[in-house]
Amino acid sequence: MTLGFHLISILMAAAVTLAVSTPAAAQAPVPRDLQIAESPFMPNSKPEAFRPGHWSEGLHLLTGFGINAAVFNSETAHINAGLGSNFKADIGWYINDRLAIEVGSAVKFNRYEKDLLWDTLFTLGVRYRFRSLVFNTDGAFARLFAGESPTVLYPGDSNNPIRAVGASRAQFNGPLAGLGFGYFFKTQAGLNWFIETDAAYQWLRFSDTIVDQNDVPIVLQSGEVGGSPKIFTLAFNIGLVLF
Amino acid sequence: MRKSILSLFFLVAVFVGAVARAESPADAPEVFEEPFTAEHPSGTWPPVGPAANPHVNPGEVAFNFGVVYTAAWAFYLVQQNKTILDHGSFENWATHWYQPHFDNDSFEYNLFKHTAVGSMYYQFYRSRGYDVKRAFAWSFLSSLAFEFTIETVTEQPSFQDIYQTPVYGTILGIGLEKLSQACHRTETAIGHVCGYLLDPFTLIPRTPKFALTPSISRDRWVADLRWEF
Repeated sequence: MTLGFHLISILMAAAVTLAVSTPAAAQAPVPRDLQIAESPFMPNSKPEAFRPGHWSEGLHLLTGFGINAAVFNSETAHINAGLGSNFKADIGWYINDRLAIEVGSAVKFNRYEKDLLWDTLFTLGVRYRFRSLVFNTDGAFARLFAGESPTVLYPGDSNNPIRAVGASRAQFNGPLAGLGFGYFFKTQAGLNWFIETDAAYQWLRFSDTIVDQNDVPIVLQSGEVGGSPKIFTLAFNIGLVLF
Repeated sequence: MRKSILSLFFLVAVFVGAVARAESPADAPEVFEEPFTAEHPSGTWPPVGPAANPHVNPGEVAFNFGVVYTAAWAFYLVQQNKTILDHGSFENWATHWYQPHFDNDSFEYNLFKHTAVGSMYYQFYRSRGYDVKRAFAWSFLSSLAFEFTIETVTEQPSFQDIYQTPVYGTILGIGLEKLSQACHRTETAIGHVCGYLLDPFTLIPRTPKFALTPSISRDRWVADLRWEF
């Protein structure tokens, strides 16, 4: 079911590998097609101007892949969903050298027994770069975010109550909040990359059971979710500053 | 919470709009010191990827956006004709635009198809000479236009689509563009074929100049359409 996701992952990984493996000598002069024009709205927004210890102002897109561990908890159940794959993409406006406002998303896939959990965390947040203290920690940053997450459960077992009502999946919506820490690095070739760990807490408030008819999702049942279900996720990502 | 998310997307739209506005020649300074020649590493034929062109004028910007918007309408009418007949209405079109929500689509739509479409937006604008950020900004605006003025015939605008189409599309587009360039650099026939398959918009000339000249006389009407390469 996640074949397409893996294909996209492979394509992007290949692109990243190409970018990383290109020798520095081969990158000079910067090819015309990779140059980025500056504008009055984005001062110092060239990729080479962004450094782990100095964020350039303007629009920046960060993307990364990684793993996550998720735990589902409610008044009646406690389920460890184990490890899953993770993909994040954050588009942010970097206000100054230390602070950015970001709209982020993190797509997670987890398997629990035969069920597939597809979770997308849409968030609004801030990213702050720490001041260097004792060590050279110029690249260290923290993220604080909140938002909403559509969480979709694809039941693999035909005896699942979701399947029993004729639905193919259930979608849960609810708010979320989280915190993350990470570190920016820069390769000798000038590529900015980062590692980041995020912890997120989701409250599943509403649910829809859904079946597709001619590619149109039809909601069979809808309502509030009882039992105060929550999901706690810890994710680790490694990624690139694309621009 | 939903109001705050709506505000958030409005905020994003404003600053993306601001980025896109920087398209005018006066705002965009010259960044290329080297002429685009056959000797240049990226100047060999066939062109390996698009070149950022700081001289995209407002007319071209409007034309490019118009092309994407028209293509989006055409694609939607052809591909979704059954859905439009079953679920579409003018009332939907007139009321859905101010009711964005989180949709219930499957991940094939939300992750793969919208990402693929977003990468096409991105690749099209790149092939027209937009730099990476402006290609992203115009992909975002094109996606917004689709969500709020086209797809509303059948459904409400979707927060997932508004975000994922341009953002994931740009990420995929950047990856495909780099792979395409790598294929072209092999300087083999199969490499060029793969390069064009991965980034087909580079097949379209970068600076086409269209001219439609009507000529009407007593006994004939002629429309002379020219495309200057």
